[in-house]
Amino acid sequence: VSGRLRNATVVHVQETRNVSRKLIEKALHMRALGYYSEVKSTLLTQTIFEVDRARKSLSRTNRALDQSQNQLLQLVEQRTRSLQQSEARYRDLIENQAAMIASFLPDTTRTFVNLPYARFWGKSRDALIGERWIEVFPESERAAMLARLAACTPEHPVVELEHELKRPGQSVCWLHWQFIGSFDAQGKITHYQGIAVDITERKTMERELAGQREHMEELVVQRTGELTRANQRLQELDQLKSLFIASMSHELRTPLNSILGFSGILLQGLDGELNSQQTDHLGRVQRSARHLLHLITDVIDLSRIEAGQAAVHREAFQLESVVSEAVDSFRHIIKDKGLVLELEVVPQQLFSDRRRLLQCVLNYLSNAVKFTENGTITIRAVAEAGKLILQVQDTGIGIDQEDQARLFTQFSRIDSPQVRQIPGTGLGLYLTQKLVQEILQGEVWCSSKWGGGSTFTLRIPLDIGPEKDGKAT
Amino acid sequence: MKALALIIEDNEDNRVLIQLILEHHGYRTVLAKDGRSGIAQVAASRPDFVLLDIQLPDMHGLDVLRAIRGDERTAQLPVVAMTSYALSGDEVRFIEAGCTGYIEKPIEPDTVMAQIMAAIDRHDRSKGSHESIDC
Repeated sequence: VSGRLRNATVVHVQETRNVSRKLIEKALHMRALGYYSEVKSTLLTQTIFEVDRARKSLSRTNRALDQSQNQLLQLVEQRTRSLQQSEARYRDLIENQAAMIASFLPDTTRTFVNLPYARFWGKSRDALIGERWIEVFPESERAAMLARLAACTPEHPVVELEHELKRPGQSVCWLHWQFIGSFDAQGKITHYQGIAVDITERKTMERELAGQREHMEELVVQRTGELTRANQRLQELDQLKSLFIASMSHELRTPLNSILGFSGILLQGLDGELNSQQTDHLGRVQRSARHLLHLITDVIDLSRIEAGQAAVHREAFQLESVVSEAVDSFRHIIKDKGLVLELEVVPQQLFSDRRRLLQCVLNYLSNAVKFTENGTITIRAVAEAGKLILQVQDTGIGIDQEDQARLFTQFSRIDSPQVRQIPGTGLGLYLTQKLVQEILQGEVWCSSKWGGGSTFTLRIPLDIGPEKDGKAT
Repeated sequence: MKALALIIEDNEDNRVLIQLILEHHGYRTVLAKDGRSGIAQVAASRPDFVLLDIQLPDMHGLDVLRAIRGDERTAQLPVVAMTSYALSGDEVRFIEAGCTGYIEKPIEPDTVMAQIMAAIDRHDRSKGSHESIDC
């Protein structure tokens, strides 16, 4: 507006001047021709008129100018006000917030800091501006920080930085910075704007959490150690128990050896002929002693197997020899009870623990003889797919479905009047199962019906193979 | 001359028992209560065979056996170990250490002699010995 007004005014003034000069030239010319007075009055009138017109024009122009100037002043005032408001708004934005804001040059020289920034350092802005902030950090940390800043490019203008900071007289704090780079036309960085939040609380919590996690891990390690020790102690105790049982059993057997040995000598007549009553009584002593001996032997075997110390004696032998040895032990009692014994044994070469197999057959046979009052006991053995299947079948009292589940458990005896009359410890089948599973690498089962006899079966490999590494034989 | 048996056994009952049985079968016997005197008796009495308990108060039967085998004069002497089932596993070690055979306690008076003789026979055959023990 002012430009246009000024131009218009200049044109007016010049026009007025031009008109005046032309009138004067005209008057001078007329006077030179002798028309002085006429010219003079005409000229004067005309001049006055023209000057008046020019004056009018000038004052119009002046008014217009004044108006324009007023408008201009108003405009400037308005702009200034709005600029002031805007600046105040931005200043508020920068100053009245928790975040610290700073601008700085690539060498970290501060060019601007906001109030929170100054407050954070407890210094005036003037003291901070012009200083390089990198210098507040220990020498050892600076290179990494500057490298981080240098990662700022026009393509990736934002970089972040977290750092720990120790201010004099203050506890350690943590800041999270976000820097935005400004670049010149060549893409060279000119300065950074940075905004920071105090993340000390978060860091403290993280550290506490980490500490707790570590503590938990420590606890777990500690507890695991305690458990391992407790477990070790238990294993030691278990082995002690086994050792105790083994040595106890040895001590128990020594006097039994005397009882059996000397009663045997007497029965043999080494000390002279016995009458029938003496023979009968000594026979009872011997049978009881033998029974006791078997119990002790069973206990030793069990404790060995449970302690994992049972030795496997591998040897090649004939199945028939085992069966006939077992049968020999019971031939008397089978005959006395009037039972029929049937053997359906297919000759078979085995590589296994002969003594343990014999023990199992003896246990099965012993039960069959014990619980059968009349009828037949059948020993059946066949080889099938590399396995020996051996069965002892009787026509005895049989076992309830319900009781069959407990058959092979320790110290369990069937609770019935018939069973209670018959001596036994409830170890036999448990031991048999353990022997078959742990030594002979096989399995046992039973099928029976109350009142309908029982069939006890064991299935073992014909060849248990060589001993495994690390396992004692 | 009847064959002489050395019985190395610390338990008196067992010692007497085995002595009675051996003498009943016509053997002469000498006795030792521990390993050391047993080894001494082997040298002093020159027995025809030895019955050796594996658990002795002063030393393990295995060491007695090794001592006997270590002397060239008695390296071939039949030595039958008397084992107890409670310590099974020793049998294998005994046979490996050059034991002639073993019998298990409790001693059965009616069968023990046969067991001892069977062990000594096996030993003699495997060693190719032509001597035999007279009753």
